[in-house]
Amino acid sequence: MGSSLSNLDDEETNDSSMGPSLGDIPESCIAAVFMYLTPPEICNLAGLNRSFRGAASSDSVWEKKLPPNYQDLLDLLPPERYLGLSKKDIFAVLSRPIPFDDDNKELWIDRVTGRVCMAVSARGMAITGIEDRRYWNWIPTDESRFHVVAYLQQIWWFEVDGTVTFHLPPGIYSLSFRIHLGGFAKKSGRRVCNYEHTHGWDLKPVRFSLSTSDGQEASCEYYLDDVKREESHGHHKRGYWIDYKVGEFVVTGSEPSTEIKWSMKQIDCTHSKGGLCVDSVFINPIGDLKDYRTKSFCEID
Amino acid sequence: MSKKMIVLKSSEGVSFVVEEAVARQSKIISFLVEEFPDRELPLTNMTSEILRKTIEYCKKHVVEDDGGGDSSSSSSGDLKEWDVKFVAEIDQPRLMDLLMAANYLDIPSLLDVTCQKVADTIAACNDEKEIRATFNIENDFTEEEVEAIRMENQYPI
Repeated sequence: MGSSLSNLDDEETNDSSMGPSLGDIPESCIAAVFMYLTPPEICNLAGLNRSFRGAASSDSVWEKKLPPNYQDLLDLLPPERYLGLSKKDIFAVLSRPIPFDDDNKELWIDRVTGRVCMAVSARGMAITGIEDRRYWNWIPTDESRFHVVAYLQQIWWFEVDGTVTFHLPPGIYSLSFRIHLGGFAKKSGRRVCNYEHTHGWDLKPVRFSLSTSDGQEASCEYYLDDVKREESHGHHKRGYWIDYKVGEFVVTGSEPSTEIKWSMKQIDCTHSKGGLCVDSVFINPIGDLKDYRTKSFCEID
Repeated sequence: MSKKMIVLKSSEGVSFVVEEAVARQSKIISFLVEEFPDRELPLTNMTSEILRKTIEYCKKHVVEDDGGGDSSSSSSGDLKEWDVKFVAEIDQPRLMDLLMAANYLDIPSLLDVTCQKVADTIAACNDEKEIRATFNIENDFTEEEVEAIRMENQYPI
Protein backbone atom coordinates (compact mmCIF):
# COMPACT_ATOMS: atom_id res chain seq x y z
CA MET A 1 0.00 0.00 0.00
CA GLY A 2 3.04 2.25 0.37
CA SER A 3 3.03 3.47 -3.19
CA SER A 4 -0.61 4.42 -3.19
CA LEU A 5 -0.28 6.36 0.04
CA SER A 6 2.39 8.71 -1.20
CA ASN A 7 1.28 9.77 -4.63
CA LEU A 8 -0.30 13.10 -3.79
CA ASP A 9 2.34 15.43 -5.12
CA ASP A 10 0.19 18.39 -5.88
CA GLU A 11 -1.80 19.34 -2.81
CA GLU A 12 -3.72 22.04 -4.63
CA THR A 13 -5.54 19.75 -6.98
CA ASN A 14 -8.98 18.38 -6.33
CA ASP A 15 -8.95 16.11 -9.34
CA SER A 16 -10.55 12.85 -8.24
CA SER A 17 -8.19 10.88 -10.44
CA MET A 18 -5.43 11.84 -8.03
CA GLY A 19 -4.79 9.76 -4.96
CA PRO A 20 -6.09 6.29 -4.34
CA SER A 21 -9.60 5.34 -5.30
CA LEU A 22 -11.56 2.70 -3.45
CA GLY A 23 -10.39 0.38 -6.22
CA ASP A 24 -6.75 0.67 -5.16
CA ILE A 25 -7.06 0.20 -1.44
CA PRO A 26 -5.95 -3.11 0.04
CA GLU A 27 -8.30 -5.96 0.87
CA SER A 28 -7.80 -5.48 4.61
CA CYS A 29 -9.19 -1.93 4.35
CA ILE A 30 -12.17 -3.12 2.31
CA ALA A 31 -12.79 -5.77 4.95
CA ALA A 32 -12.80 -2.99 7.56
CA VAL A 33 -15.42 -1.09 5.52
CA PHE A 34 -17.51 -4.28 5.28
CA MET A 35 -17.95 -4.23 9.05
CA TYR A 36 -20.42 -1.40 8.40
CA LEU A 37 -22.33 -3.04 5.55
CA THR A 38 -25.01 -5.73 5.59
CA PRO A 39 -24.52 -9.23 4.12
CA PRO A 40 -26.67 -8.53 1.03
CA GLU A 41 -24.70 -5.33 0.39
CA ILE A 42 -21.40 -7.19 0.73
CA CYS A 43 -22.49 -9.89 -1.75
CA ASN A 44 -23.46 -7.22 -4.25
CA LEU A 45 -20.00 -5.63 -4.01
CA ALA A 46 -18.06 -8.81 -4.82
CA GLY A 47 -18.32 -8.05 -8.53
CA LEU A 48 -16.50 -4.69 -8.35
CA ASN A 49 -12.91 -5.93 -8.57
CA ARG A 50 -10.48 -8.53 -7.23
CA SER A 51 -9.91 -6.89 -3.83
CA PHE A 52 -13.64 -6.59 -3.25
CA ARG A 53 -14.19 -10.17 -4.29
CA GLY A 54 -11.48 -11.34 -1.91
CA ALA A 55 -12.87 -9.36 1.02
CA ALA A 56 -16.46 -10.39 0.21
CA SER A 57 -15.62 -14.05 0.72
CA SER A 58 -13.18 -13.67 3.60
CA ASP A 59 -13.88 -15.69 6.73
CA SER A 60 -12.83 -12.80 8.97
CA VAL A 61 -15.61 -10.62 7.50
CA TRP A 62 -18.34 -13.27 7.73
CA GLU A 63 -17.31 -14.48 11.17
CA LYS A 64 -18.40 -11.06 12.46
CA LYS A 65 -21.73 -11.25 10.62
CA LEU A 66 -22.63 -14.58 12.21
CA PRO A 67 -24.28 -14.61 15.65
CA PRO A 68 -21.83 -15.47 18.47
CA ASN A 69 -23.53 -18.82 19.08
CA TYR A 70 -23.84 -19.93 15.45
CA GLN A 71 -22.35 -23.28 16.40
CA ASP A 72 -25.51 -24.01 18.47
CA LEU A 73 -27.58 -23.52 15.31
CA LEU A 74 -25.25 -25.72 13.27
CA ASP A 75 -25.60 -28.44 15.92
CA LEU A 76 -29.24 -28.81 14.83
CA LEU A 77 -28.06 -29.81 11.33
CA PRO A 78 -26.36 -32.99 10.13
CA PRO A 79 -22.60 -32.23 9.99
CA GLU A 80 -22.34 -32.96 6.26
CA ARG A 81 -24.49 -29.86 5.66
CA TYR A 82 -21.81 -27.51 7.01
CA LEU A 83 -18.42 -29.23 7.38
CA GLY A 84 -15.78 -27.66 5.18
CA LEU A 85 -17.90 -24.66 4.27
CA SER A 86 -16.57 -21.12 4.35
CA LYS A 87 -18.06 -18.72 6.91
CA LYS A 88 -19.95 -17.03 4.10
CA ASP A 89 -21.56 -20.31 3.04
CA ILE A 90 -22.38 -21.08 6.67
CA PHE A 91 -24.16 -17.73 6.83
CA ALA A 92 -26.17 -18.73 3.75
CA VAL A 93 -27.05 -22.14 5.27
CA LEU A 94 -28.20 -20.56 8.53
CA SER A 95 -30.27 -17.89 6.83
CA ARG A 96 -32.63 -20.64 5.73
CA PRO A 97 -35.01 -22.11 8.33
CA ILE A 98 -33.63 -24.96 10.43
CA PRO A 99 -36.37 -27.22 11.81
CA PHE A 100 -36.07 -28.76 15.28
CA ASP A 101 -38.27 -30.36 17.99
CA ASP A 102 -40.12 -32.70 15.56
CA ASP A 103 -40.11 -29.99 12.90
CA ASN A 104 -42.59 -27.94 14.93
CA LYS A 105 -40.04 -25.19 15.56
CA GLU A 106 -37.68 -23.31 13.26
CA LEU A 107 -34.62 -21.16 13.76
CA TRP A 108 -32.81 -19.00 11.25
CA ILE A 109 -30.63 -15.92 11.14
CA ASP A 110 -31.89 -12.69 9.69
CA ARG A 111 -29.93 -12.14 6.49
CA VAL A 112 -29.55 -8.41 7.08
CA THR A 113 -28.83 -8.23 10.82
CA GLY A 114 -27.44 -11.74 11.40
CA ARG A 115 -29.63 -12.03 14.49
CA VAL A 116 -31.39 -15.25 15.50
CA CYS A 117 -35.14 -15.56 14.77
CA MET A 118 -37.51 -18.32 15.80
CA ALA A 119 -40.97 -19.58 14.93
CA VAL A 120 -43.04 -22.20 16.76
CA SER A 121 -45.98 -23.91 15.06
CA ALA A 122 -49.34 -24.36 16.79
CA ARG A 123 -48.48 -28.07 16.35
CA GLY A 124 -45.72 -27.58 18.89
CA MET A 125 -48.00 -25.94 21.49
CA ALA A 126 -50.46 -27.24 24.08
CA ILE A 127 -53.98 -26.36 22.95
CA THR A 128 -56.86 -27.11 25.32
CA GLY A 129 -59.37 -29.43 23.62
CA ILE A 130 -57.22 -29.96 20.51
CA GLU A 131 -57.97 -33.69 20.43
CA ASP A 132 -61.75 -33.08 20.16
CA ARG A 133 -62.75 -32.39 16.57
CA ARG A 134 -65.94 -30.62 17.70
CA TYR A 135 -63.63 -27.84 18.99
CA TRP A 136 -60.43 -27.76 16.95
CA ASN A 137 -59.29 -28.96 13.52
CA TRP A 138 -55.96 -28.96 11.75
CA ILE A 139 -56.14 -27.25 8.37
CA PRO A 140 -53.35 -27.75 5.82
CA THR A 141 -52.44 -24.47 4.11
CA ASP A 142 -49.58 -22.79 2.30
CA GLU A 143 -50.33 -19.59 4.23
CA SER A 144 -48.35 -20.99 7.17
CA ARG A 145 -44.58 -21.56 7.09
CA PHE A 146 -45.40 -24.87 8.86
CA HIS A 147 -48.08 -25.68 6.23
CA VAL A 148 -50.76 -26.28 8.84
CA VAL A 149 -52.85 -24.12 11.20
CA ALA A 150 -55.22 -24.91 14.06
CA TYR A 151 -58.82 -23.85 13.37
CA LEU A 152 -61.14 -23.31 16.32
CA GLN A 153 -64.78 -24.01 15.59
CA GLN A 154 -66.18 -23.27 19.01
CA ILE A 155 -65.06 -23.59 22.64
CA TRP A 156 -65.64 -22.14 26.10
CA TRP A 157 -62.16 -22.58 27.53
CA PHE A 158 -59.78 -21.06 25.01
CA GLU A 159 -56.15 -21.65 25.94
CA VAL A 160 -52.95 -22.07 23.92
CA ASP A 161 -49.64 -22.54 25.76
CA GLY A 162 -46.12 -23.03 24.49
CA THR A 163 -42.51 -23.15 25.53
CA VAL A 164 -39.08 -23.23 23.95
CA THR A 165 -35.58 -23.48 25.37
CA PHE A 166 -32.58 -22.34 23.37
CA HIS A 167 -29.26 -20.58 23.78
CA LEU A 168 -30.30 -17.27 22.21
CA PRO A 169 -27.55 -14.70 21.70
CA PRO A 170 -27.70 -11.62 23.96
CA GLY A 171 -30.21 -9.04 22.77
CA ILE A 172 -33.78 -7.83 22.98
CA TYR A 173 -36.52 -10.02 21.54
CA SER A 174 -40.21 -9.61 20.93
CA LEU A 175 -42.76 -12.42 20.98
CA SER A 176 -45.97 -12.41 18.97
CA PHE A 177 -48.87 -14.71 18.05
CA ARG A 178 -49.92 -15.00 14.40
CA ILE A 179 -53.71 -15.28 14.31
CA HIS A 180 -56.42 -15.15 11.65
CA LEU A 181 -60.02 -14.31 12.51
CA GLY A 182 -62.34 -16.41 10.36
CA GLY A 183 -61.76 -19.47 8.24
CA PHE A 184 -60.30 -19.31 4.73
CA ALA A 185 -60.15 -21.47 1.65
CA LYS A 186 -59.09 -21.30 -1.98
CA LYS A 187 -62.02 -21.47 -4.37
CA SER A 188 -61.17 -21.60 -8.09
CA GLY A 189 -57.90 -19.81 -7.42
CA ARG A 190 -59.41 -17.08 -5.25
CA ARG A 191 -59.03 -16.73 -1.52
CA VAL A 192 -62.38 -16.80 0.24
CA CYS A 193 -62.95 -16.19 3.94
CA ASN A 194 -65.89 -17.34 5.99
CA TYR A 195 -67.03 -16.20 9.37
CA GLU A 196 -69.77 -18.77 10.04
CA HIS A 197 -68.12 -19.77 13.35
CA THR A 198 -66.63 -16.40 14.21
CA HIS A 199 -68.15 -15.11 17.43
CA GLY A 200 -67.39 -14.10 20.98
CA TRP A 201 -64.10 -12.23 20.48
CA ASP A 202 -65.66 -8.78 20.88
CA LEU A 203 -67.18 -9.55 24.30
CA LYS A 204 -64.02 -9.99 26.38
CA PRO A 205 -60.35 -9.45 25.54
CA VAL A 206 -57.94 -12.33 25.13
CA ARG A 207 -55.07 -12.31 27.61
CA PHE A 208 -51.56 -12.88 26.23
CA SER A 209 -48.55 -13.44 28.48
CA LEU A 210 -44.95 -14.54 28.41
CA SER A 211 -42.34 -15.41 31.02
CA THR A 212 -38.69 -16.38 30.94
CA SER A 213 -36.60 -18.71 33.09
CA ASP A 214 -34.76 -15.71 34.57
CA GLY A 215 -37.96 -14.14 35.89
CA GLN A 216 -39.04 -11.67 33.20
CA GLU A 217 -42.75 -11.34 32.57
CA ALA A 218 -44.95 -9.43 30.17
CA SER A 219 -48.64 -9.57 29.41
CA CYS A 220 -51.36 -7.71 27.58
CA GLU A 221 -54.92 -7.99 26.36
CA TYR A 222 -56.47 -7.57 22.94
CA TYR A 223 -60.02 -7.71 21.68
CA LEU A 224 -59.63 -9.93 18.63
CA ASP A 225 -62.87 -8.67 17.07
CA ASP A 226 -64.77 -5.41 17.11
CA VAL A 227 -68.22 -6.04 15.69
CA LYS A 228 -69.82 -2.66 16.48
CA ARG A 229 -67.09 -0.53 15.02
CA GLU A 230 -66.51 -2.83 12.10
CA GLU A 231 -70.09 -2.83 10.93
CA SER A 232 -69.72 0.82 10.03
CA HIS A 233 -66.04 0.91 9.04
CA GLY A 234 -65.49 -2.47 7.40
CA HIS A 235 -63.64 -5.37 8.96
CA HIS A 236 -60.24 -4.35 10.29
CA LYS A 237 -59.59 -7.53 12.21
CA ARG A 238 -61.19 -10.21 10.06
CA GLY A 239 -59.91 -12.11 7.06
CA TYR A 240 -56.16 -11.63 7.30
CA TRP A 241 -53.22 -12.66 9.45
CA ILE A 242 -52.44 -10.38 12.38
CA ASP A 243 -49.35 -10.49 14.61
CA TYR A 244 -50.37 -9.82 18.19
CA LYS A 245 -47.34 -8.68 20.11
CA VAL A 246 -47.26 -10.25 23.56
CA GLY A 247 -44.20 -8.42 24.87
CA GLU A 248 -40.45 -8.18 24.91
CA PHE A 249 -37.71 -9.90 26.85
CA VAL A 250 -34.00 -9.46 27.23
CA VAL A 251 -31.32 -12.11 26.92
CA THR A 252 -28.21 -10.99 28.79
CA GLY A 253 -26.09 -14.01 28.00
CA SER A 254 -25.41 -14.77 31.66
CA GLU A 255 -27.45 -18.00 31.52
CA PRO A 256 -26.39 -20.92 29.31
CA SER A 257 -29.88 -21.06 27.78
CA THR A 258 -33.20 -19.26 28.08
CA GLU A 259 -36.55 -20.93 28.55
CA ILE A 260 -39.44 -18.86 27.22
CA LYS A 261 -43.06 -19.67 28.01
CA TRP A 262 -46.11 -18.03 26.48
CA SER A 263 -49.84 -18.34 26.63
CA MET A 264 -53.03 -16.98 25.11
CA LYS A 265 -56.23 -17.32 27.13
CA GLN A 266 -59.90 -16.42 27.11
CA ILE A 267 -61.36 -18.62 29.84
CA ASP A 268 -64.53 -16.75 30.76
CA CYS A 269 -66.90 -19.69 30.42
CA THR A 270 -70.06 -17.56 30.42
CA HIS A 271 -69.75 -17.25 26.65
CA SER A 272 -68.37 -19.38 23.84
CA LYS A 273 -66.03 -18.20 21.12
CA GLY A 274 -64.87 -19.62 17.81
CA GLY A 275 -64.03 -19.15 14.16
CA LEU A 276 -60.32 -18.42 14.48
CA CYS A 277 -57.02 -19.84 13.15
CA VAL A 278 -53.80 -20.07 15.17
CA ASP A 279 -50.65 -20.38 13.07
CA SER A 280 -47.55 -19.81 15.16
CA VAL A 281 -45.57 -17.80 17.63
CA PHE A 282 -42.67 -15.68 16.39
CA ILE A 283 -39.68 -14.66 18.47
CA ASN A 284 -37.93 -11.83 16.69
CA PRO A 285 -34.74 -10.02 17.63
CA ILE A 286 -35.46 -6.30 17.81
CA GLY A 287 -32.30 -4.80 19.22
CA ASP A 288 -28.88 -5.10 20.80
CA LEU A 289 -28.35 -5.09 24.51
CA LYS A 290 -26.92 -1.58 24.30
CA ASP A 291 -30.29 -0.36 23.00
CA TYR A 292 -31.89 -1.68 26.17
CA ARG A 293 -32.55 1.09 28.63
CA THR A 294 -36.02 0.86 30.08
CA LYS A 295 -38.16 -2.20 30.10
CA SER A 296 -40.97 -1.66 27.63
CA PHE A 297 -44.39 -3.17 27.98
CA CYS A 298 -46.65 -4.03 25.15
CA GLU A 299 -49.42 -1.61 24.32
CA ILE A 300 -53.02 -2.57 24.68
CA ASP A 301 -54.75 -2.31 21.38
CA MET B 1 6.26 20.98 33.30
CA SER B 2 6.71 20.55 29.59
CA LYS B 3 5.09 17.72 27.73
CA LYS B 4 7.20 15.22 25.88
CA MET B 5 7.26 15.92 22.15
CA ILE B 6 8.11 13.67 19.24
CA VAL B 7 8.82 14.41 15.59
CA LEU B 8 6.96 12.76 12.69
CA LYS B 9 8.22 13.23 9.15
CA SER B 10 5.99 13.06 6.09
CA SER B 11 6.87 11.61 2.66
CA GLU B 12 7.85 15.10 1.48
CA GLY B 13 10.26 15.40 4.39
CA VAL B 14 8.16 17.91 6.33
CA SER B 15 8.59 17.53 10.11
CA PHE B 16 5.64 17.70 12.47
CA VAL B 17 6.30 18.17 16.17
CA VAL B 18 3.58 16.43 18.15
CA GLU B 19 2.90 15.76 21.81
CA GLU B 20 3.73 12.16 22.52
CA ALA B 21 0.28 11.53 24.04
CA VAL B 22 -1.33 12.70 20.79
CA ALA B 23 0.83 10.49 18.60
CA ARG B 24 0.45 7.48 20.87
CA GLN B 25 -3.15 7.03 19.76
CA SER B 26 -1.53 5.20 16.90
CA LYS B 27 -0.56 1.78 18.17
CA ILE B 28 2.27 1.66 15.64
CA ILE B 29 3.75 4.99 16.79
CA SER B 30 3.28 3.94 20.40
CA PHE B 31 5.38 0.89 19.65
CA LEU B 32 8.00 2.83 17.68
CA VAL B 33 8.35 5.47 20.41
CA GLU B 34 9.21 2.80 22.92
CA GLU B 35 11.61 1.01 20.59
CA PHE B 36 13.34 4.14 19.29
CA PRO B 37 13.00 6.95 21.86
CA ASP B 38 14.20 10.45 20.89
CA ARG B 39 14.24 9.59 17.24
CA GLU B 40 12.48 11.30 14.38
CA LEU B 41 9.90 8.89 12.94
CA PRO B 42 9.77 8.88 9.12
CA LEU B 43 6.34 8.04 7.69
CA THR B 44 7.42 7.66 4.10
CA ASN B 45 4.02 6.58 2.85
CA MET B 46 2.06 9.53 4.26
CA THR B 47 1.81 12.89 2.60
CA SER B 48 2.02 16.07 4.68
CA GLU B 49 -1.63 16.72 3.98
CA ILE B 50 -2.81 13.36 5.29
CA LEU B 51 -0.39 13.41 8.20
CA ARG B 52 -1.70 16.86 9.17
CA LYS B 53 -5.29 15.57 9.04
CA THR B 54 -4.39 12.51 11.08
CA ILE B 55 -2.67 14.63 13.71
CA GLU B 56 -5.68 16.97 13.81
CA TYR B 57 -7.91 13.99 14.54
CA CYS B 58 -5.58 12.61 17.23
CA LYS B 59 -5.25 16.03 18.91
CA LYS B 60 -9.00 16.40 19.17
CA HIS B 61 -9.38 12.95 20.61
CA VAL B 62 -6.56 13.20 23.10
CA VAL B 63 -8.00 16.47 24.45
CA GLU B 64 -11.42 14.95 24.85
CA ASP B 65 -10.08 11.75 26.36
CA ASP B 66 -8.01 13.84 28.80
CA GLY B 67 -11.16 15.57 30.06
CA GLY B 68 -10.45 14.13 33.53
CA GLY B 69 -13.30 12.70 35.56
CA ASP B 70 -15.76 14.79 33.56
CA SER B 71 -16.74 12.01 31.21
CA SER B 72 -20.26 13.31 30.70
CA SER B 73 -22.27 11.88 27.85
CA SER B 74 -22.56 15.29 26.21
CA SER B 75 -18.80 15.46 25.73
CA SER B 76 -18.74 12.04 24.05
CA GLY B 77 -21.76 13.14 22.01
CA ASP B 78 -19.93 16.30 20.97
CA LEU B 79 -16.92 14.22 19.97
CA LYS B 80 -19.12 12.00 17.80
CA GLU B 81 -20.56 15.07 16.15
CA TRP B 82 -17.06 16.43 15.58
CA ASP B 83 -16.02 13.10 13.98
CA VAL B 84 -18.98 13.16 11.62
CA LYS B 85 -18.15 16.71 10.55
CA PHE B 86 -14.46 15.85 10.26
CA VAL B 87 -15.04 13.07 7.71
CA ALA B 88 -17.86 14.94 5.95
CA GLU B 89 -15.47 17.75 5.02
CA ILE B 90 -12.93 15.46 3.35
CA ASP B 91 -13.24 14.68 -0.34
CA GLN B 92 -13.37 11.09 -1.59
CA PRO B 93 -9.70 10.45 -2.56
CA ARG B 94 -8.41 11.99 0.65
CA LEU B 95 -10.92 9.99 2.67
CA MET B 96 -9.35 6.86 1.16
CA ASP B 97 -5.88 8.15 2.07
CA LEU B 98 -7.04 8.79 5.60
CA LEU B 99 -8.68 5.38 5.87
CA MET B 100 -5.45 3.74 4.75
CA ALA B 101 -3.43 5.91 7.13
CA ALA B 102 -5.69 4.84 10.01
CA ASN B 103 -5.23 1.23 8.93
CA TYR B 104 -1.46 1.59 8.56
CA LEU B 105 -0.89 3.52 11.79
CA ASP B 106 -3.45 1.38 13.63
CA ILE B 107 -5.72 4.11 15.02
CA PRO B 108 -8.93 2.14 15.65
CA SER B 109 -11.28 5.09 16.24
CA LEU B 110 -10.15 6.90 13.08
CA LEU B 111 -10.48 3.66 11.11
CA ASP B 112 -14.04 3.33 12.48
CA VAL B 113 -15.19 6.78 11.40
CA THR B 114 -13.59 6.63 7.95
CA CYS B 115 -14.95 3.12 7.28
CA GLN B 116 -18.40 4.17 8.45
CA LYS B 117 -18.33 7.13 6.09
CA VAL B 118 -17.24 4.99 3.11
CA ALA B 119 -19.87 2.35 3.96
CA ASP B 120 -22.59 5.01 4.18
CA THR B 121 -21.55 6.38 0.79
CA ILE B 122 -21.62 2.88 -0.76
CA ALA B 123 -25.02 2.13 0.78
CA ALA B 124 -26.38 5.38 -0.65
CA CYS B 125 -25.43 4.37 -4.21
CA ASN B 126 -28.22 2.93 -6.34
CA ASP B 127 -26.24 0.39 -8.30
CA GLU B 128 -22.81 -0.97 -9.17
CA LYS B 129 -22.36 1.64 -11.89
CA GLU B 130 -22.82 4.47 -9.42
CA ILE B 131 -20.38 2.88 -6.94
CA ARG B 132 -17.78 2.52 -9.70
CA ALA B 133 -18.21 6.14 -10.70
CA THR B 134 -18.22 7.48 -7.15
CA PHE B 135 -15.10 5.61 -6.06
CA ASN B 136 -13.33 5.35 -9.41
CA ILE B 137 -13.15 1.54 -9.38
CA GLU B 138 -11.94 -0.27 -12.48
CA ASN B 139 -13.28 -3.71 -13.35
CA ASP B 140 -10.19 -5.93 -13.37
CA PHE B 141 -11.98 -9.24 -14.00
CA THR B 142 -11.85 -11.46 -17.06
CA GLU B 143 -15.18 -12.43 -18.64
CA GLU B 144 -14.96 -15.94 -17.14
CA GLU B 145 -14.46 -14.46 -13.69
CA VAL B 146 -17.45 -12.16 -14.08
CA GLU B 147 -19.63 -15.18 -14.81
CA ALA B 148 -18.13 -17.14 -11.88
CA ILE B 149 -18.81 -14.25 -9.52
CA ARG B 150 -22.38 -14.03 -10.69
CA MET B 151 -22.82 -17.72 -9.90
CA GLU B 152 -21.19 -17.61 -6.48
CA ASN B 153 -23.16 -14.59 -5.30
CA GLN B 154 -26.58 -15.36 -6.69
CA TYR B 155 -27.91 -17.41 -3.82
CA PRO B 156 -30.28 -15.40 -1.71
CA ILE B 157 -28.28 -14.04 1.15
